[in-house]
Amino acid sequence: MSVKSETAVMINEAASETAPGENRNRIVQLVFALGWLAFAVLLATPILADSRYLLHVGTMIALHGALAVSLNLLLGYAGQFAISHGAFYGLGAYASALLVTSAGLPFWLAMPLAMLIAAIVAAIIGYPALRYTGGVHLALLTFAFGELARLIAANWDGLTGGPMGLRVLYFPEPVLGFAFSKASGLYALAAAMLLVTMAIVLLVKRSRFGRGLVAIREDEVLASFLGINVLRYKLAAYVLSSAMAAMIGTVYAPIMTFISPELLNVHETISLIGVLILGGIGTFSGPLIGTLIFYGLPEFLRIASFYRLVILGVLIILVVLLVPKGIAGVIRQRLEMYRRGYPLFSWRKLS
Amino acid sequence: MKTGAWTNKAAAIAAATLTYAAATTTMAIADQTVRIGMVNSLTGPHSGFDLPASEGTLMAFHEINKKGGITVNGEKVTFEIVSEDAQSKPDVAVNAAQKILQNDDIRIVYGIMTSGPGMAAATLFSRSEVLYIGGFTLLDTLLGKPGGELMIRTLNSDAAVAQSFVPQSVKVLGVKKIGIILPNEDVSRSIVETYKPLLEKAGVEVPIVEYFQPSTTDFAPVLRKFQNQGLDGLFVGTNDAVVEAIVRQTTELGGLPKKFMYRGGSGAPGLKYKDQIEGFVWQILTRDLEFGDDPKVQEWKKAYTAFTGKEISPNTYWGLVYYDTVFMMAKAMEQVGSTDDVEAIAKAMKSMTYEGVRTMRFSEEGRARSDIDIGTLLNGKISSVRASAE
Amino acid sequence: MFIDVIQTMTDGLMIGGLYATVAVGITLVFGIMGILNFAHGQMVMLGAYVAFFFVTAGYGFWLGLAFAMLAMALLGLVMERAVFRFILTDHMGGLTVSLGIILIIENLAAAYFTPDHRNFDPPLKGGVELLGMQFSAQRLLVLALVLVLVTAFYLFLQKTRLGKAIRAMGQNRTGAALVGVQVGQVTAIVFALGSAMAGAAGALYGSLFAITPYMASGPLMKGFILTVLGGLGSVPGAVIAGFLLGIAESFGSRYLSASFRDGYGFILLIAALLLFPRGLFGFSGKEKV
Repeated sequence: MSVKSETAVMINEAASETAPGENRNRIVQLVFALGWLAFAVLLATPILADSRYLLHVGTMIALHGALAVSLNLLLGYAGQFAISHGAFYGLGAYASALLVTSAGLPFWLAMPLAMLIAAIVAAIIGYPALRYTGGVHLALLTFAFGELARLIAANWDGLTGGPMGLRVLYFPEPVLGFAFSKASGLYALAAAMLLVTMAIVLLVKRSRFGRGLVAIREDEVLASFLGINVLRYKLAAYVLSSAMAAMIGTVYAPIMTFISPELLNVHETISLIGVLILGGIGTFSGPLIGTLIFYGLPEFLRIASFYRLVILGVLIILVVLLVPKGIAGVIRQRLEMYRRGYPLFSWRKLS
Repeated sequence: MKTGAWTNKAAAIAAATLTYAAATTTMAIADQTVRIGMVNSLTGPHSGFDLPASEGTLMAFHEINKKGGITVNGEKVTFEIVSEDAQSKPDVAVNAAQKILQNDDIRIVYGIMTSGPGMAAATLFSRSEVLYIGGFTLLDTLLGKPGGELMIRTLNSDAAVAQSFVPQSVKVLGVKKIGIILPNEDVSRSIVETYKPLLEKAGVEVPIVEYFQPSTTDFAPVLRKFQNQGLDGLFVGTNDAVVEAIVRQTTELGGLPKKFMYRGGSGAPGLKYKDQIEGFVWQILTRDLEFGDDPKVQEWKKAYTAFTGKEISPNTYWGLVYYDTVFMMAKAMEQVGSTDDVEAIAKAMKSMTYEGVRTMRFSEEGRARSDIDIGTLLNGKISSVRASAE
Repeated sequence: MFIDVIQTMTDGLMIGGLYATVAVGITLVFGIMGILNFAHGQMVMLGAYVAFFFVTAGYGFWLGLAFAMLAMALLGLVMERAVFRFILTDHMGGLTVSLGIILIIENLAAAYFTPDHRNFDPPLKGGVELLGMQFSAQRLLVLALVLVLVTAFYLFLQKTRLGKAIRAMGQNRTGAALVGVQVGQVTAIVFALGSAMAGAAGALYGSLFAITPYMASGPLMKGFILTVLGGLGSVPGAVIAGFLLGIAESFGSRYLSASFRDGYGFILLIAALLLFPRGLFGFSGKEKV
């Protein structure tokens, strides 16, 4: 997808009845283009710098970014508060690792199978949980499911290796001569995951399905009056988002060479939710900005993780109370106002 | 979220590293500085093992540097440590190991005494050309296999320890029929495989083995299974927190044995309830620091307190896990005349016997053959005996 | 065999009582404020530490228990005034904010209390024999205390003026305000009350089990399960569900497998949500609190 068309989409979205000034429109377009350029530069940096350290950090950030993007589809666009993303991430890792090591399947076959398994499980869990509006049911049930999955992984010793985890000694098979056994190859794999999830979310966002999800988020009753099958839409979003988490999990296994039940811990999901809120829930760039701040900054500033988590906690609270739209949400709103003729920076409260 | 939070202790480590680095820089006579990697759980539930172990390692390198380093091929060599925190979690351990391996010049890595993070990090080390010196139980399963050639475990295997521990504790406690209660983990299964036959060989009946969920706090229901079975002893593991809870809850529930054999940690859980139980025997895989009178140990204790500024605690004896091995490694470097030919260094280490604070020797496969101490609490009296290596 | 069943049942009631003490706080706050407070487990943990510091300082268990409740009530009051009152009835906002509070409290606690396991001396030691059965004395005391606390809590809601105002708010916030209930004040009191119960639960936990900064997730998860099982907002429902869960765990661990202990609760929860989506005791929908 070209940068230009995406920018155009974003602008169209923000379009309003008041005709914008040509000049301002261009500047806004430029900001979006710069955002994409920054993203491309960041993505290329670890490869170009050819440093093992940057490759490793980049791999982890790309994986977390992909997770945040896929969770945003469900939380941000569909407005459904599920706390099971980490569980599906872990499910994907375990399922693919077992399919490869025990069943002897090639990695590239194990990946879609693991996604299929995750999708089926998500459908079984999601159907009863999503029947009710309000979302607390979904939050609680997915929370319980996640913990149960972790317990099963920790206790089904014979299959999962128990609390000690599972060693992963394989690499994905080369594709078109491109090998994944080196640090740069694994980074490319993680970056590919990020791009794939971004592409999927972008496609969904622009589709009838995506607009339906946003309608459900805004008002379920109204959405059902508009002829949207609310339950089916919500379920589809949950299944899709969970399957994406599983997909990212399948590459996590060979990257980390090791998986343990801790991977399914609910704290992973909580951190992701924090990332989304920080960056801007329901925006396209929010998950990326949030990931970069939460996982990237401390890596370079060398902040002790203890402070990072305390600061993140304070940030989450402040953001929810003061700027519920998050960083990307505020930027988007500012730009839109600017395009309509308001000044770019002003302390006036935006409605 | 159980992340780096043991700030004061971590700060102590950082301070130790700093003082040590300062000492290195003042000694400009060194021709070469060799960097050594260290991965340990400095925070989280396993830090009780790994923190003293890392302090002992740092202390050994500090002592070598203070003496001006070692001489390899006529060149003075001093050491510098790069330390990473595994936070008691497997995934963080892999991350920490990755960070160590990013330094191409680091060829030797020390650390990790618990199998969860240990196996995770060791998997990565087995793929890399580094000499890995660790302490965790499941490392035994990697030794002598492909990928395990450059690995050394500095603690005796359970198979070796049990040979002396089982007869000794059965004799001291005078037990005839015991139950085994362990967390539901891989390690526990290998423990049962090793100890149960030896117990039976020593004339002890083992009618019941139970595994519990590792995060259990309420042991009442599972302990009920041991009630009224005519048991006179319990075999427990694998860490102090769990064992303390079990000991306490046996004294509360009643109808349960008052004698314990403990595989895994210190004597603290037994000593805490010494008025309510009859006997408690534990393994001291290095040296008894609290109740023994070995002069070498006394000297080490003084040096440890001076180096870390900390008092001796029930877990301090883990500080000896890598301590002697550091000197063995230094000696091996001098012998082979290289600081980065890890294969030759490993080979030299495996063919020497070292009389340090512990008496250390390694097998061809890298398994420790060291003497251990066995701690005993019997009717309120505490003592320890030394069990020879073979 | 029969004796064993009774013993296991009592073990289950004891541990279930602890779960129930945690759950009534979560349930009350959810029923009145519409906030699912994930940080409730952290209040339990802090309550346990307050008790620990009081007991080790030599003030004894009873003062420790009282101050754990008082300190948590105050902390709850502060949190409600500073944060939660701005997002009343916003399910997602409340949930997210409480996740943020978890991060702050847990990491600060780990830094200042160290992750070491702590214990304090319970008022009763050892075991007692009753009719040929063996019980832990302290556990029986805890069970008795739980019954007293929960009954007092229930009577307060049923009989006192304030309790009636709280229940009125649970049924209809606007209606309650119209008939003269000081909605803002009462909401703050509800939060303080729920937090005090968390403090009590923490002190009782600490008298039986080791305390760590990371102990919160266990009680919290149990509390959630019970809140749902009890019918999202029903205090008596949560209490009964608590005892049921304790019994299920004890019997599961005793007669099935102890290595799947926490799993029994989740299975119970998922089954209940599928079969009785309004909770086991939430069928009427009238008597909310």
